Order: sequence, then structure tokens, then C-alpha cells
Amino acid sequence: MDPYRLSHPEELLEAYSLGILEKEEASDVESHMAVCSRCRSSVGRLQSVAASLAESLDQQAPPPSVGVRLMDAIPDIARAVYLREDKRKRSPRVFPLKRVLLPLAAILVLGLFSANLVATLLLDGQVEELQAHNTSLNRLEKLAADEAQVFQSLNELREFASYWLIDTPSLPLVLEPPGRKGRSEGLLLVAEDGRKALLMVAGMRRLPEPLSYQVMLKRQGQQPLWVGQLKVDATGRGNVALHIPDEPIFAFDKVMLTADADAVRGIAEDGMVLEGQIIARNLSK
Amino acid sequence: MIDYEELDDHHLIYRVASAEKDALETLYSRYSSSVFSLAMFMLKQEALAEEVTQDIFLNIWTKASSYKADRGEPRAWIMSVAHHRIVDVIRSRRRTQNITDPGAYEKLELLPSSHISTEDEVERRIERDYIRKALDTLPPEQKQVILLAYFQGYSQSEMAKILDQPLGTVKTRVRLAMKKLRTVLEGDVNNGPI
Repeated sequence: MDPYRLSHPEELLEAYSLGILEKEEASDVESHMAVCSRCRSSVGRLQSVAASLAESLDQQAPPPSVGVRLMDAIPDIARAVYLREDKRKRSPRVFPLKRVLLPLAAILVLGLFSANLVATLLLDGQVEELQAHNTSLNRLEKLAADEAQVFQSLNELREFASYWLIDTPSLPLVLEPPGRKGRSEGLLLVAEDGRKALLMVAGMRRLPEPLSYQVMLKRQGQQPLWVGQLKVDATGRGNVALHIPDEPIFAFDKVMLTADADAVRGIAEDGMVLEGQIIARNLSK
Repeated sequence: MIDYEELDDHHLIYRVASAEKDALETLYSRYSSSVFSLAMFMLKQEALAEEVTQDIFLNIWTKASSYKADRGEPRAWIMSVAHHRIVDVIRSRRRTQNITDPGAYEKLELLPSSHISTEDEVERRIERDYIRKALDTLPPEQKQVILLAYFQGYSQSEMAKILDQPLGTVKTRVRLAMKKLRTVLEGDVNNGPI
């Protein structure tokens, strides 16, 4: 189901609010709500009615030990975050590709300059033509620099993500625009067990509030499942931890990043801006 | 020094999303009774209800960043997270029992022995007059599906089988009942409890 084109699923909202829809229908409603503030608001009001039913029961406090166990469980999480931060300060990691891509970009730029210089010396009589070539080369140089900046952004985000994943070995998955049009790039980091994932992007267009990009998981023959909402900053970067469903992410075929088609007109007519195939062989993990 | 007790629920959830443990503790003190009471009522087992209550607040700790203000009041979101988790447990136990030994189902005492007594029990346990009165405005068949759905976690197709009614009829009853309840309760919010 395309959540942008679906008419408001009003006939499902009451049952959704009571938590009694079948999983697939509930996923459809959630996909739609991710892009529809009207239905979000309706569900909010209906869930308030449902909450009133729960609160109408005679109230019984849990034993104090429940609160103690809960609070005991949380410092471990907070401490893990602290340790990751501390480790990052002490030994910043370098994404291996950074060591490869940046020199390559530098070589490319130097090569282009050298070619330009040699051409100027050898073809002295064709100044105008060379000037035109020079302009093209300058454009290429700028594109190479832009590309290097995009990769650098991704590297920084990946570094951040590696700590977020608490040192779990992770499997990077590269996301690209459909047909490789445009210069946006994305990287999806998935923990090996498929239960955690972090999406990072660079080179994206910032959408006007309240719009944002929607992240979906898709598998063949089924409707896309909404797993997150992504906002990008003024530099075109953004990241979001995905809400992985009950099953591992490897049970899905594809991850997609979509947006309101009007907001990304000229980039993607159908609203699909980035996509990546999830490799099936990982299912064994 | 932040006085978390002074903060409203919206601010508390945003602070929980920023991993502020004290904010979660305050939310816990405000909502643990509602959550635990619902878990106790639906699961019928104290140890299980305690475990699920702890689970629910850990869920809130990890999911707080996904809460959006335009999706309704924090209390409704919290109770929705709670209800979903409890229903998951009930359905999981039902599946296990269906696969293994349907005869042993009653022994678990996870669910009441029949839906009729449960409706009676629900009505007995509903303490707030304005909710009881709101439910009483519903035709009996609509009230029945609300109680089966919310307090016992039955899906619409399961209710259709239990009530021996077409699925479409059950869906219509659910929709009409919720619309009516919303109208009555939102009117009550504006006018104060009955």
C-alpha cells in the first residue's frame, strides 16, 4: 500500500485504537499515520477513550520491588551510553573507506588539474577550446569535492552509529536513489542479529515542516511497514534509529526512504528517494 | 536542579527520550498503578503482571523518542503501549495453548472461563461512574464487543467466532461503539465528570 495515496482508513481507526486489528492492517494504519496528521489526531482521541476504560478499573499499585527492578535495569543502559561516549573521546575510530576515498578524490582532482595543464601547453593555439574544457574540469573538480564531503559526512555518522550499536558487529547496507539519480546517499547499519538498525543520510533536501522522510521496510507481496521518520538538518544530514518490528530486519527484502511526492518534485516523481536491498543470506544470522 | 514532579507529561516524555532516568521515575509514579491494574485485570497473574509492568516502562524508556505530541495525550500513548504489550502476552499464551493442549487452557487462569462472566466482572470492577454511565449509553451488543476487545484482547475475527456473528457486523459494532463513547466522554471532559 502506498501510504500517500491511500484514502484515510477511517473504518480501521477505532479498532486500531483498541489494539484489535490484525498485524497487517495495523501496519497499514501506521504507515498512513506516519504521513497523515489528521488520522494521527483521530487515533490520539480514540486512544484517549481507550485509556479511560483502563483507568476506570479499581487502581492497584504494583509492589515497590517492580519500580526498584525497573530503575536497576536502566543504569546499565545509561552506563553503556556513557562508556561509548568515553571510548569515542579516547580513541576516535577512522572509517576504513575514509583512508581510501579521500586520497582517491585528491588523486582525481590532481589528475584533472595535470591533464588541464598538459593540454594547455601542447595545444597553445586552441585557447578557446581549452577554456571550455577548463570550465568542465572545474565542474568535475567541484563534483569530486562534493562527493568527498558526502562521504566524509557518512563516515562521521557511521562513527557515531558504531557506538550507538554498543560495539555489536554490524552490517552496513548502502542506500541509493532509484536509478542512481541525484547525489543523496544513505547508509543503514544493522546489528548482526537484525534487531537494531540505524539509518544515516547525507546530501538530502531539507523538507519544510511538518514534512519529513518516512522509512519503510518492504517484502515481496506485502505492504510496506513504517519503521521510522527522518528529519535532515540544514546540511542535508540526518539519522534515525529504526523501530524494528518483532521479526529481524533480514526478514524483509528492501528498505525504502520516501517523502511526500510534492515535496521532492524534480527528484523523485513517486516520492521514493532512496532504497537498498536487504541481503537475504543474512537470514541465517 | 529540575523538579520533575512539576513537569507535565509532555516534558517528562521528552526528557525520557533524552535518557533522563528521573523523568521515567516520575512517569512511573504517575502511571504505574493504571498500568499494573490493567495488567492484573487482563492477565490474572500477579507475577506476570509485575513482569509485564516493568517491561512496559522499559518500552516507554526506549520508545519515548517516537512519541509525537500531535498523536494525542501522553497518558493515552502510555496506556496504548501498555495495552499492546498486555494483549501481545495474552495472544502469545493463547497461541501456545491452541497448539499444545486446548484442554489445559482454563487451568492457566490467564483468561476468564467465559466471556459472559468477564463482562459482568468488568462492569463490577469499573469504579468510575462516568465511564460506567458512558458504557451504559451503548446498546448491549456494542458494549459487549468493547469489553471483549479491550479487556480480553480478542481480535475482531475472534469475536465474530465467539459471538457467532458475521465479521462485518462485529466491525460495525466496534466502530459505532467507539464513536459513541468518544462523543460521550469528550462531552464529559468539557462538562466535568457526570
